[in-house]
Amino acid sequence: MSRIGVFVCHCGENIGATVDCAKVAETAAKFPGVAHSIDYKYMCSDPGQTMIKDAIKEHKLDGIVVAACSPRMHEPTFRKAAREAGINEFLCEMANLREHCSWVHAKEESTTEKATELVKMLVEKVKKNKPLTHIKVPVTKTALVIGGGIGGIQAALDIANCGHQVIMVEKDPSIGGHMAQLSETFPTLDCSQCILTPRMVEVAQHPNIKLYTYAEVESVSGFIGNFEVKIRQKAKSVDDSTCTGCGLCMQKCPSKRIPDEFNSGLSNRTAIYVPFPQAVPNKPVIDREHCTYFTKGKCKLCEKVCPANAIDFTQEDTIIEEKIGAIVVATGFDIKHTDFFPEYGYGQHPDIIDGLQFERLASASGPTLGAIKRPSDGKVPEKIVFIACSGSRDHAKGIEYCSKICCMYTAKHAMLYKHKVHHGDAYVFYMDIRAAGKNYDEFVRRAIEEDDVKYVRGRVSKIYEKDGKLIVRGVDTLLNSEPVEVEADMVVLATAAVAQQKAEPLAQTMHIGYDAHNFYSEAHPKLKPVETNTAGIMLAGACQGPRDIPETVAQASGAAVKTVALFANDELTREPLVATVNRTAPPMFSTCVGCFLCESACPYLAIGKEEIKDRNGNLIKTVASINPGLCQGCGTCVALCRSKSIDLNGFTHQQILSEVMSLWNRREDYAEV
Amino acid sequence: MSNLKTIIQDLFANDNIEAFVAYKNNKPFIVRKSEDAMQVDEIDNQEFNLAVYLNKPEIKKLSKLGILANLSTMKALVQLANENQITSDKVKVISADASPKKFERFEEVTEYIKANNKETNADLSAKVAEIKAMSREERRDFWNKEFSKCIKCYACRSSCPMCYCTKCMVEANQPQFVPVASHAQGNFEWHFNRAMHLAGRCVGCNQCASVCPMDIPLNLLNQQINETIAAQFGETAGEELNSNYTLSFFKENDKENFIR
Amino acid sequence: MQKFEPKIMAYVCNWCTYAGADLAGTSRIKYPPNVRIVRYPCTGRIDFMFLLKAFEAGADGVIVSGCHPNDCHYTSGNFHARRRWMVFKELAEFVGLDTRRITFSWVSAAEGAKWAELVNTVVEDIRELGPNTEYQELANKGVNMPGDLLYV
Repeated sequence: MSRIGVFVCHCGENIGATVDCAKVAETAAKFPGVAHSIDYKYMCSDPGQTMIKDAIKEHKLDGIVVAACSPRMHEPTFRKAAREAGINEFLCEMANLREHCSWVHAKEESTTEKATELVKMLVEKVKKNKPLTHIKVPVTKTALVIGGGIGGIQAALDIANCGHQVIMVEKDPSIGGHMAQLSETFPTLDCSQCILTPRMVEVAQHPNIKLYTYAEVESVSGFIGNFEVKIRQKAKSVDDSTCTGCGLCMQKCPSKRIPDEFNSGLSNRTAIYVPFPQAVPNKPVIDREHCTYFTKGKCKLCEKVCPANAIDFTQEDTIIEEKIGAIVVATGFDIKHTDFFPEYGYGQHPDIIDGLQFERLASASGPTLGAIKRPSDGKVPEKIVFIACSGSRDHAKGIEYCSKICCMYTAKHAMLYKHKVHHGDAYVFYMDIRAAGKNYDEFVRRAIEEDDVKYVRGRVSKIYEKDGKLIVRGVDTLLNSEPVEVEADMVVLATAAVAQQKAEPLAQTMHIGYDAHNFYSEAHPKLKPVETNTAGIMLAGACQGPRDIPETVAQASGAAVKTVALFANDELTREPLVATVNRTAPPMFSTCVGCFLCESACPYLAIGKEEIKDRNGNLIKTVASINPGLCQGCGTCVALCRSKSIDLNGFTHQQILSEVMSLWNRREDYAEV
Repeated sequence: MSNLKTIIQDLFANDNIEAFVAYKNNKPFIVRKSEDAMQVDEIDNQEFNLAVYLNKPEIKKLSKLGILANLSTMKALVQLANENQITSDKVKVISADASPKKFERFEEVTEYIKANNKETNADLSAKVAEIKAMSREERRDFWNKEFSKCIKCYACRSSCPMCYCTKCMVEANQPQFVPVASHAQGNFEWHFNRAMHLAGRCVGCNQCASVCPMDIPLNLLNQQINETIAAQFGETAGEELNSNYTLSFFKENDKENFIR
Repeated sequence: MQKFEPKIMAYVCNWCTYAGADLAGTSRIKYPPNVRIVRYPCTGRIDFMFLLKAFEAGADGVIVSGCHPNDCHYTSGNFHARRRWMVFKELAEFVGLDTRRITFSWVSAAEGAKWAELVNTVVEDIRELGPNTEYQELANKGVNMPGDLLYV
């Protein structure tokens, strides 16, 4: 027979005013298995808790029901009290007499009756509770950072500076990401590369950071603290260890007409290349898709000129396996290109460019060395039009969200133009100006007031070419929607920021959630903005949604702290409320028949196969097994299992059925076992 | 005369099978030795789903075997493969038709199913529709009457190729979900459970109903669920390898018009 | 004669509807005391047998409620539950259970008012339907011997 203690809390007047707590305690005392039942003004107070602890010891209780507020509020409090009194904390249950009873019902007999029944349900449940112990999982104190943009760099440096090992994987030949492409940054107009490149070098030289560039994450298995990651190191065709980075090969390479990704296609590069002069690592790779030797089977000029003998055409992709404790995903974003806009000529006109292209034009290291010249004929544009919200906030285009960065960078672009072409005219077509942020609105005001940028509130419906000019047709909604026409020399579209092309397959590799636009989902939009629903995987930067540099850096540091906090202990402690597959006596060993239909129901991929073998190592049967490190305790597999071979700690079949059957038509055959 | 006997003997000789499931005198028969192959019936007119024998412990433990399979047996085999109970390597399938053919892989079996699949359950469908057209009270009385006949012999379970749990949940007693006795509630809950547990897995061989000594039309329950699943989720059991199990799979736009 | 008070069993998930019911409490939204809440971690955990068992326990009506699609704390438990309920509901209707007594719903942690409204509606609906005697009758019929068929 169980020895259950029932503790009915008045919560001052909160419960006491509507529920006859003394009567509830009195009735509960008569329930089978209840050894002690008492009511008290404030159970969560110190004297209240002491009362519970004393009663547990005095009455040798083997389970308690605290009838008070919502377990979402005080369950930890009373579990702790139970633990301190020397019984297992999972032998404590709470009946919700406040939120689910006294606060929502009138002072009537039926309310007290309901309170009594709520206690009864939990008394029957707690009788079936079993002592559980917290799950301990070892932690590998190495972090994987995916993406070498400013988000990844910040996270990697923060983690590494806390003394932990970091592995950084970057898909491109150099780290730096989009930030390396930018000319100046808002709202201070300081040079992007000047602030970024020192960080890039720091990453390369940091003793705790291992850098894999030109590499991609191939697979992720395991769970928090214990991931196993396979990284595909794409063949660089250049031996990193002997290459001196002299650059002779790039000068001699005959394939010189490959659109340069770093310059957004505004210039060309060679097949053996370093993406940009400040690249880290500053060693070339061969782009096999365009290399004459790899496409035609002849050339090898680079091999001949290389003084270090570093060229290796036989290199193959290698798979590197690493053990990881946590992952920071900082894969960044992409932008829509001009070909996305039929109304702006499908990207056919060379002088209609996107924001990143303008960054390259304005950049001192760009194809024009910072002079604003139009791509078609190299002339300085006298009149330039910037169109904000190109694609963003446009349901018809399937992009309902605000890309967030465009208002600011458009203001910046207009200013940069005016600073370089003093006599020129700059127009900005916009929907709203969203400049919330420290010194952001001031920045936009400066563009309008000091630099005389003409802001027109309205959308542009069409751009077409006429006599060498681009006719931009729009409306001014602040002037009764009058049509506006600007004869421009160049148009810059602030195109929508979108998820990385490979965002979806990568999310599936890591088993993290993503939204309809392939941006990664945070575990909670407010309270867990840097975690994902997969424990141990954190997010940083624009892979989660469009954001600017300061925000990305802040989030990256947040993700780093979450990682470091995880690494602070040698073992992780997890709630033991996980599913388990039963074990029975031989010859059955488990009632699981190994159909594995539960496998695909698990959102955490916690269900695996376990082979039960005899002492000679012969296979007896294969059954499902649930990794307690991965299982989050939703119980979907439990409800699916036909033979009831899986059960969920804390919400077992026995517990729930006892709870349910305690009500109304209580049948004695369910009562006591 | 078909070449079934030679195929079986060939399987014993070249594929090292330890048993072959076929018919003898119109009854299921397990061929244990090559020479016994001479006793099997040449042509299979049986509607029986022989796949059920693969779940019997004494057969299950064999490392290699063969089976004569009509369409529903094949579907059951495919579904069993999807549920990790058998593999192509272990089970060699011989088609039960005028010219028996050996299938090396289950992929070939699914092709055969696709080529020969026909709507066989039209009568059953009509009966399901007929019951659906009844008033709720009539449906309740119809099934109460049917279920009240049940003697809980579990022949439906034993004859079903998909009911292979080593311990059925009705025999679990911690807790006892379904009352053991064959009273009205116990019967109702047993049949409800059986149908639900076959949801998305039943291949529609109708064996449960044909073996029932009390003639309860159990296949109507399965048919109804199969129809629901086909209509709502567009899925059928036992036709494709590696297909999703309806209840451990979902689409974001699954219907939810019944949810408030 | 005493007025019929419906007995309602509510199976709810911990993260959305349980929290929603908590919110109804903190907002002091009143609803009738006929409902008994059983807390599950997720709607995915709700075995269909528990629905039948609620009737066996004597419930006149059952509410099953969890997170809205895409809100599931475990990302997909409610999606799996939704499929299971679809199959369950169709079968239950087919065998003549009164499915009007089972209400499926999504109530989020922010929808305290929706929860109260749901309980109100269900209590009123079940009051109209009257006591659920059918399942009790099943349970009370006792053991049938073969040949001693009830309806023959």
